Amino acid sequence: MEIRRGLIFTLRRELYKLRRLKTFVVVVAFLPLLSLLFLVALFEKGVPRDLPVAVVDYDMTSLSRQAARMIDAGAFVKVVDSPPSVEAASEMMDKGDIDAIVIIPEGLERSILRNERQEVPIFINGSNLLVGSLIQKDIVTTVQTFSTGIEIQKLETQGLSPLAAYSASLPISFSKHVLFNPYTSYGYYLMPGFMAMMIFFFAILSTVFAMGLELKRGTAFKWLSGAGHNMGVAIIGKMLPYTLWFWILSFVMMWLLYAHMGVPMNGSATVIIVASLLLVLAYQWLGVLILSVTKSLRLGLSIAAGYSVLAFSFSGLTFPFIGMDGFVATIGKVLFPFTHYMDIFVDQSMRGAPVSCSMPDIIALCLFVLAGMAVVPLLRRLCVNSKFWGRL
Amino acid sequence: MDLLKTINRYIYVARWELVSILRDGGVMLIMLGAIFIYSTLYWLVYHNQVVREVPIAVIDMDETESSRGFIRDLDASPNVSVAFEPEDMDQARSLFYDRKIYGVIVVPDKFEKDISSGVQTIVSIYADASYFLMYKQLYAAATSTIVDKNIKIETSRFMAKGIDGKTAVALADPVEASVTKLYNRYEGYATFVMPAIMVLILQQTMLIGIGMVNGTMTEKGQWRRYKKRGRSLSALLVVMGKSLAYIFFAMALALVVYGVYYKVLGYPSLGNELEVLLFFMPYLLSVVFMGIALSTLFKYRETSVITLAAWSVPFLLLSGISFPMEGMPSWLYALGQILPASSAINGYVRLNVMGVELSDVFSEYVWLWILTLVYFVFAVLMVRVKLNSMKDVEKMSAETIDDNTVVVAPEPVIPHEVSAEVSDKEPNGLSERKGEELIVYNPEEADMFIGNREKDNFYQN
Repeated sequence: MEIRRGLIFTLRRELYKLRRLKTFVVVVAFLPLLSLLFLVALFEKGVPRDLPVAVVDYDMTSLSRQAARMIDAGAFVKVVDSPPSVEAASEMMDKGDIDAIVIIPEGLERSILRNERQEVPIFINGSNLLVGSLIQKDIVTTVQTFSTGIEIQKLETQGLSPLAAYSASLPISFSKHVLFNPYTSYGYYLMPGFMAMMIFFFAILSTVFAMGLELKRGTAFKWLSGAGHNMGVAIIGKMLPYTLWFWILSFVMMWLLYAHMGVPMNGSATVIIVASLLLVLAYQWLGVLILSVTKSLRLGLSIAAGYSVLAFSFSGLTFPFIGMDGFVATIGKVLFPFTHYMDIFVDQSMRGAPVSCSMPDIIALCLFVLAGMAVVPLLRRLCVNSKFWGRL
Repeated sequence: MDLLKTINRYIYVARWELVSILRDGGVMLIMLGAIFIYSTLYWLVYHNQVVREVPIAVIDMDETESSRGFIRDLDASPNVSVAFEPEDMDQARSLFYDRKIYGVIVVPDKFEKDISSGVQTIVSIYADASYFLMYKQLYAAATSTIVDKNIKIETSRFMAKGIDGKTAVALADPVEASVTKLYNRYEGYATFVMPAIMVLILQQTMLIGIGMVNGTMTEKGQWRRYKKRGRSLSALLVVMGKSLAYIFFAMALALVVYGVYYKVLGYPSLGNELEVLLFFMPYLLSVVFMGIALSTLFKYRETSVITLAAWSVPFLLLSGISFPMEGMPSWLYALGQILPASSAINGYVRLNVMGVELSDVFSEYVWLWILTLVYFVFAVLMVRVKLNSMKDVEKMSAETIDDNTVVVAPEPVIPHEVSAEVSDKEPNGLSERKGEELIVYNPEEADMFIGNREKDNFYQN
């Protein structure tokens, strides 16, 4: 009874307070939504097309022109110019107008007719890893196709049937099965991570802010006594509106991902929904922990913000754990609940893994919640001692 | 005489701003500490640069000399390592769910027989595209192994027909693509993202820091300092004075971060140092003016953190570095150009990673100067609005109290001593409102929450 009344009272008090914190309400309610829409707009195309390249044609034969046309037809690149010399092309690259230079050497057609091997030098700006590897894959595949095409023609002149010539030119062929991300869309792969990061960033920040403000304004004791001097009740009552709001946002996120963007959902949606709630709670309780340890609103906010931005890099989503030093990978798994959330997301949404696969990650999320709960006595001390109040 | 007075005031504003920065631990942590902390942590995550030996499984349904040779070739590739050879797809799948492998390659039945009898054989590649870097490595390793193998097989076929070795290779693969990756030869991840991230961090920490300094001033009502004792300062002078302090600070920071720490961490710095410095000038200026303009909107010390910190990742994306501009809608990319970091990142990467000359980043450079001018005007206008809104000193102080309302619980119910001294010291100790404490007990609010009955219950605890 006592607990219920404390909870309801704290909740009502928090909602009343929110009326006077307009900026904060805007930040908590609209910035995450805005950032979700931003990410949808950004990744709507999913794959970069028409990356600019230049072809320097020193051969100027019908064969070399055909090669240039084939390169232009590639899925990711577009031939934007055909400068007369390598020097002119490299100047274009310096200015940032093109990302790759293909050089078709003089005598390409002639040496092919003479059965001599010809090299096609390709210079790719590697400073952007993503652009560089897309261009490389695209152009190299085109050149290989071009080369195979010539070979098939030659085999046909030797009297082979087109089919026999084709299979002779490629003794081993391969069938590519891209698992879980059929269009190899960068949107599918990056968006869930970025969206989750934005939502949960605000989950931790709002917790630290709402509680830190009680300390800063010296109202912490009122907060505690309003909850019947039960710190746990005080925290839960205060966090409840935010918990619900961020959980609702995670549904908005899923709607955008699955219904709007067409991200695959191969596993259990229930697991992701539960994990989202657990991650909101984990972040909120980590917020409690951060505030209790830093004892100040401002420092707590800075650390909470820094921490949740770092979560993305430490999740192994872009740069995988197997590339990191062992202890860094351990930090990523032990200190960041986000890592486990993303594992669950990838397992369930993309891979369609059995639910049992995600259980360890679910348990990990629960442990983060418990870690936050362990510091409740510490926060209580801050709330009853006025020497911790009014700090900036 | 007038000029002297103006200079004096100018120095007064600048000095006070600088002191506010240096004496405030929170501001120093963000403006000075954060960039070192972040770049060190990111270095920890990314410093191995590349992912090698991605573990994969190979299902060998042929089990002949040829298929084993093919698997050995695959394993020899630096990008993947054949970690398991499961019996069938079910075993491979469970390895995959346990994150022990990131791809499966199936060598078909009759692999050897088909090759020797001239029938095309098909190898299946199952690559997990939920982690892109690993997908890329697996795909590259598998395709290049197959292409090399094909050339070998065909060459030996031609040679068996009596064609000499050189011609046989030319027949097997008439045109060879020879790829040279410029500027980031080994495809390092840190080399790719860190120059951009480090430029962006400077913008973010400066914006948040400036917002924090000025938000604190607003919260404490210290902007009135510029309107005290009849020496009402013009908005122009306030902006000039404030920006002098931040530019001084940002310049010193940029020299240490990009001149020293960036190089200590081993990121490429091919640019001419003087040119990089020149390029940074308008970047720092525009960031500082943008920061001052935005900071006039912040009513509290912490407003800048909660409104600006979240945007680091979207801002990085907008610059077109981690996700290329060709992949995003052009209106969004254009919108991103209002951020100084967007042009600064593109220019900086070309200057320092590609080693081009300042004249090659001329368009970015000019754009940054335009932004500087625009944000300067914007800052002056915003500061003017803010200063004008404080004309009525009486009204202003009432507002300040409202902003700062500190509600202290009623005396008898608190077990510990409550003095709730709201520290209102000004950072340079030149306090002009000493002793003005803003402890206001708001009975209305208390009644709202605590009905009499509940009050009795709770407070008797």
